[in-house]
Amino acid sequence: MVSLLTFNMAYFLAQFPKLMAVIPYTLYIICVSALICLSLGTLIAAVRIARVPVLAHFCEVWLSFIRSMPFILELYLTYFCLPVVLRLAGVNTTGWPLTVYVFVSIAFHYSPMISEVIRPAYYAVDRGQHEAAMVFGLSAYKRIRRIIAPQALPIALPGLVNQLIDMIKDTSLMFLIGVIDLMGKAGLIINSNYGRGKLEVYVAVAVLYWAFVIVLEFLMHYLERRNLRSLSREG
Amino acid sequence: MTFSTELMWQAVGAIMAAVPNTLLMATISLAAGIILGAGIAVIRIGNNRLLTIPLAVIVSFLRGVPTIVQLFIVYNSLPFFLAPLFSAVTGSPVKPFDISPYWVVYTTYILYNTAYQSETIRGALLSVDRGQYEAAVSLGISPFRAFVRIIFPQALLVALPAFFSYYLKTIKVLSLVFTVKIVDMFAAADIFAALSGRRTEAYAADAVVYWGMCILLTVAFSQWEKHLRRRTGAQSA
Repeated sequence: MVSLLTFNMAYFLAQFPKLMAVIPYTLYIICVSALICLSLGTLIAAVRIARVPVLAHFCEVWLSFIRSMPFILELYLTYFCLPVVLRLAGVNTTGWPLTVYVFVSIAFHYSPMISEVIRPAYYAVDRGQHEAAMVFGLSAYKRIRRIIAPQALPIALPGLVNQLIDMIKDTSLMFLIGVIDLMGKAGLIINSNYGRGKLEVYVAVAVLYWAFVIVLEFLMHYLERRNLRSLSREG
Repeated sequence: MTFSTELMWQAVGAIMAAVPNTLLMATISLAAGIILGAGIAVIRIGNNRLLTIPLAVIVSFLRGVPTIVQLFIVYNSLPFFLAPLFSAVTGSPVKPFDISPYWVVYTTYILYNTAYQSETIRGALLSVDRGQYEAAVSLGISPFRAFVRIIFPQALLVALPAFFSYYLKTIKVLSLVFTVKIVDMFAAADIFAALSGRRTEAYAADAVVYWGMCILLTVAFSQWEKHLRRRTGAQSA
């Protein structure tokens, strides 16, 4: 019995330079999405903490909605259905770059998820800290910026990194709407080789995604350790 | 272009037809993942470096690589292993192309669940107080029995909510199986969209079905969990 599987090591290694060419673009998508989600997520968390009447309920429904849905469905809803809705509202979406749909779908899915990380971290900071800051007469902005955020961020860090990893893994679906990121480039390489050598290309893509995630995890452990050290110095 | 509610209800019907298959795939993947994951968790808690290091690398790979990439890797390798095997077993030649894509789906999703469940169970095992094990052993119960009868059941109860949330997660991640020609809830909506030419209604209907099913399952799980906790609590008291 002979296995029919072949794995060409030289062809596998030859993929890396080709795939490296789209890494800047992939990183650009990841970084911009992360920034959008972090700011929107913080805003949503603030709305829910402050219990803004109608908005807070809306955010909760939004959260339950996106939690129950695969990301690919949101991507398709954004890509196929959003233009229809916008056209009804009188906006012409012809000629919009694909990245718009990427950012909208990621923001739609991950902003509420990130608010779910930030909100508990805010509540984890001792109430006495809020009250003490108030007694010292600090403004609301200064209270958050100087007292609460520095204590809440280390608590939120592991959750934020987990969401970031999930987000990176979900950006691998962008090739389905025609974005040329890592997976999109992999498809192009396979097509230009008449469909041969699929396994080598996909394993190379897997190695690159794996490297992203490992680097992020190392970074998180480094930050956590540094944070622990600084806490023990103060205490 | 108007939104047709009638068409949307038709789409809901088409998607509902794919729900049993989706739930079946998710259940089998999760159950097998829990069993295999428990094995990996027990091995990784031990101190045999020859086993723990390779397992840690495999789990890290399965958790760090997007599921669609894993699915494509399995799709482009597994049938080439299985075809010669099936030819030898059945005696008639089997081509890689004849292998059912369900082999690919189950392999990928069982591996996916094994990786995540091994981490869940490992955490749960470590959360059970060591004193329980020591007390059992000092009472003359063999270490193996103490582990299986005393530590493991408690750890499973700790891990239960995580299993439920991974069940929902598996259902969502199964939305990728349309790339290997299997029909789940997402693929059903995609097919309806292609046949009717109306994507808006199809995807909106899919969103409604996913949302409704997620709410129903969450309620059912929390009821079941409450029931289990009450029963085990009564036993231990």
